[in-house]
Amino acid sequence: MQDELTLLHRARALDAEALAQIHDTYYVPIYRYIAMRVNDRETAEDLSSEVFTRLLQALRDKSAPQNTLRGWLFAVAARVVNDHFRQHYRIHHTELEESLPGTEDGPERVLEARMTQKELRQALQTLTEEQQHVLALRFGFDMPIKEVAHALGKSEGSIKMLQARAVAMLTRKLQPGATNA
Amino acid sequence: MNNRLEQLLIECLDALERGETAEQILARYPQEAAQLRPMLETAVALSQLNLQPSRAAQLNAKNAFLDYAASLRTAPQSRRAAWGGWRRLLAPLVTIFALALLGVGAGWRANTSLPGDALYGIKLLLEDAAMPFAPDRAAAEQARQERRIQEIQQLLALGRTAEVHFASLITDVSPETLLIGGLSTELTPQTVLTGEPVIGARAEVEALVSNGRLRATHIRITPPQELPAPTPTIIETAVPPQPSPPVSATATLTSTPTPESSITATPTSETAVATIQPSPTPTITHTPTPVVTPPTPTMPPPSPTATPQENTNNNDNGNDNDNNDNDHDNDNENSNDNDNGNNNDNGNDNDDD
Repeated sequence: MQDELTLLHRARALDAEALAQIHDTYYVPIYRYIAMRVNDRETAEDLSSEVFTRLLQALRDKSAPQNTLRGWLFAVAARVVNDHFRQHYRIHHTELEESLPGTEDGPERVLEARMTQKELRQALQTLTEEQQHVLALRFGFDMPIKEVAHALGKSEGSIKMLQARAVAMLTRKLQPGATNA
Repeated sequence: MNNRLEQLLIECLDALERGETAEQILARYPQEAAQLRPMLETAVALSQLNLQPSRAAQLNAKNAFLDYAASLRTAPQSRRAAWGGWRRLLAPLVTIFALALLGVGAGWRANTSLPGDALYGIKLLLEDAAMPFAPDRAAAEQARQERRIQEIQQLLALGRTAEVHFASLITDVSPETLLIGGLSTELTPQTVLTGEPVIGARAEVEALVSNGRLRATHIRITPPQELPAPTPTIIETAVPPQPSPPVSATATLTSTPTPESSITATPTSETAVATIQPSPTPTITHTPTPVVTPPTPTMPPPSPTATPQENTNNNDNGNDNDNNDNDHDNDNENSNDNDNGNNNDNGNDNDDD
């Protein structure tokens, strides 16, 4: 926490080294969070960059976070994704193809894993916004339950229940014969 | 999913978060293992959904981020909102000071500076100072707006990063871009758009120039000049004091009423244009703009209700305008909400900690 405060202090002075460190630390988790929600590589990259642009604007306007950079960045990422969905600027869809099995796997295993990944991402899009939010924070942003609860202003019990229901729903969607509508 | 199974799943997901494997967890619930297994596998698959950005995208994003930060460091004077008021107050003093200290050479350098340059603020000050002495203020203001656009074109050509502000007319509209003052202005998911982007409307734009692209952050649109709303044309001299049955302007009869006629001529329709003139030969002509001529002086002429009270009705237009103003205010508030909302939403919750 002390490190983050120091980092924030230096970032407020637009210290290049501190800003680079912030970008290195948070770009990937933010991208993962966004990618889980938008399922489009190009959009996920653009929106991730937008989160950092907003950080600089907040630093410039003296409205940057005072204590928790991580929580603040998450909140901005969530807002950026919501803004994106509100405006329906989903022009291009470059299917995400990350996390494919290694080349040491046989072709059948590669195909099976690719299908599972694709189905999982598609199924994610069918969950409620709140469920997507929780799963993206938990598994994209790697946020522990306690932090998710704090970030969303809910109890840990509520988040655990939301997570369990979302996982159960996803499982149903992934059952053979289920539709992702 | 029943309550018990849901509770078990919550416990299983807790255990998964603590680092236990699915098999270890399922071993604790042999009776429910068959039901829990697919759900735990889904959770494991989610955690292994190892979404990673491309290295190139990450590097480009970082470079753009640091470039933008550098532009903020080197050009704090481009923060229009922060010192826009001071600029006007200090303009004459600073101009004199700048000219005295820097001389014509520095003034020339400022004049060729671009947004993000150290001397760009001086350039704006010089413009502000010269504006009151311009023989034609409108032309000078127009020239200033054109300079802003030329500066942006130069920034784009140079591939530089800077915050810019300009205003001009919209000449083309597409889902992703607006052509404003000849500049292709990209709309991003984060663009806060106030007003309806239509060709001919005036747009005031705040944008970021970066890597040869102009991406709008805020666009405020003023609708194109609207035609005045049609208002009934009332000739007040046609309001005779004599009582008479009202004549409806919407009547479909074509007739030459005698003094005994009781045809009504009440321009009650807001859209009707009723011109009422006394005439010795009363006629009613039915056209889109009916002309109702009251009866001859031998009988009491019609007394249309289109009196000054009708003018009061015409004030509806004024009320509408008021409403529009209110709408506009609301729009502005909304746009502010958007800006602040980013920070206020959950971010502030966290900040409080």
